[in-house]
Amino acid sequence: MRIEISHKFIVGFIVVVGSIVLLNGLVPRLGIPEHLQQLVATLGALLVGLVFGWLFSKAFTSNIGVLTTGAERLSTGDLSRKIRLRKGIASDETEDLANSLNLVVDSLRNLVGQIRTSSLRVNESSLGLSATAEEMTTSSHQVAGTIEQISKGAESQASMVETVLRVVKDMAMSIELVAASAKTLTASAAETTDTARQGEQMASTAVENMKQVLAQVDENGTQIVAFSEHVQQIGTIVDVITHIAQKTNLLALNATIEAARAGEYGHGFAIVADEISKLAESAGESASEITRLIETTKQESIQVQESMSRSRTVIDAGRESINTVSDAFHAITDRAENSQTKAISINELAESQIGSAQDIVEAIEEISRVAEENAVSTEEVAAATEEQSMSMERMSASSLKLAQLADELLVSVSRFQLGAEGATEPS
Amino acid sequence: MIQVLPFVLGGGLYGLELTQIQEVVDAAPVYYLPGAPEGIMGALNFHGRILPVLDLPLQFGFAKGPRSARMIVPTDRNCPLVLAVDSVRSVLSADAQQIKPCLNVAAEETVQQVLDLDGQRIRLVDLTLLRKRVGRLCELSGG
Repeated sequence: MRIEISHKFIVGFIVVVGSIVLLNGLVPRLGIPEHLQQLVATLGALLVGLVFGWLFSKAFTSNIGVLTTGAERLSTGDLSRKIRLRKGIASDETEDLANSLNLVVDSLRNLVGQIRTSSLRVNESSLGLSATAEEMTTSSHQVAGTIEQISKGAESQASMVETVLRVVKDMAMSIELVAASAKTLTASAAETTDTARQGEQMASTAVENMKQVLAQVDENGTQIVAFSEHVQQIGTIVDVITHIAQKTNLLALNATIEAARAGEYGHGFAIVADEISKLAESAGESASEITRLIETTKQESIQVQESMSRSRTVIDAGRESINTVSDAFHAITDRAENSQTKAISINELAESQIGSAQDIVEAIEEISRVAEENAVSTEEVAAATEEQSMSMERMSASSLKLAQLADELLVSVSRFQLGAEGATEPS
Repeated sequence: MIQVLPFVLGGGLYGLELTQIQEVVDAAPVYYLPGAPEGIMGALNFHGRILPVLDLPLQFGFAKGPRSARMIVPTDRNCPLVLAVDSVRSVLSADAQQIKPCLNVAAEETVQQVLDLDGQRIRLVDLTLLRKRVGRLCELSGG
């Protein structure tokens, strides 16, 4: 049953007044002297008023005290308990106030719980965020290191590509030199071929001349042989003449002997025989002269034949030599032509290599350009990574700050005591 | 006035008077005589007669060897022999005063006279002495 305080005051007042009236009627009936009746009634009324007042004020002040205590607890942040008024006979505005205060406590409890939970979460999250940011910083540092290596690699690649470019350019120049040499070689080989061909022709002309000379020598040899035969025939004839002369000489000698034996009669005969002997002697001398001449001629013709034979041998050797020379010239021609062909193919190869080398140079220049671009890009990436790293560090610092703030908030909120129920309630 | 046929034996020049010579033969084949004494080269056919051939250089102490194809046939009564010599020269004429006696040496006992022709000395062979010597040779051989 609800009774407002003002109503309670009124009721009390009515009860006190009623008790006074009641006493005034009741006292004379008790047998109490008259003069004491007034006094007893007054005293009774006073007593009733005192009892009522005491009871009433006590109940009132006790509720107020509970409320005050609750408000004081609230002011110190103790939200662990609710305000509980003693159960009276009738509730009043203090009950309403207590209820309202309890609602405030509940709301505060919820709020603080949520704040605490949230700040804890914020703390955890920001710590996690900080860790993540640190990890990311580490990662970005690693990335920066890697990119630095890449940058160094790109730089060394660029320098290597430059070296390669230089080498390839040198190579291209060398190939041009080779091509020029091959051209010179081709010309030289062509000249050699021409010269060797001329030499070959000259050699074959020389061989022809030699053959003619040999034919001439052969003919001369034949003539000499015929001549020798004629001389031989003459010799035979001269032998006959010599024989005849010897015979004549012998005949003359015997005639002289006969004449000598005939004495004076043989004198004329002896003169004739002497003349015949002289003639025979002269003929014999002439014949032996001819024989001597024939012998000399024979010797000379033998010498001529030997000389011709030697000439023939020499000419044969010369012909052999010239044939060898001709073969050599032929071989030289072949080799020179071979060299020419090879030099021409070298030249062609070198020409095509020049083109290829040019292509290679262009490709390497392209590679060099790309490598430089890569170097620039990696530098940019490195700068970006650096910035990212710095951002991460800032983020890490911020998240740390956030965690600190959350801690501070927790500290701020911690003066609110929620009790076991309040701490576990939010979720 | 005499006529001499000079001939060479070994290194010396010898001769015979033409009156002592019957003929000079040339290149007649000499047949080997088995059992003939040394100094007889063989035999040859002289106009149908077989005459022994005397190696004259050997008789005069010169070395053996091939002799000239011309051989001298002396007159019969002097010596029935054919004389082989080293070579025969042309007939020379000389005065009888140029014939001089020769100092005899053992090997040349058959030479008694020398014909001196202005320093050219021709030893004249004595056919009678030669025949005696050859006879001794034949007797020695035959004995």
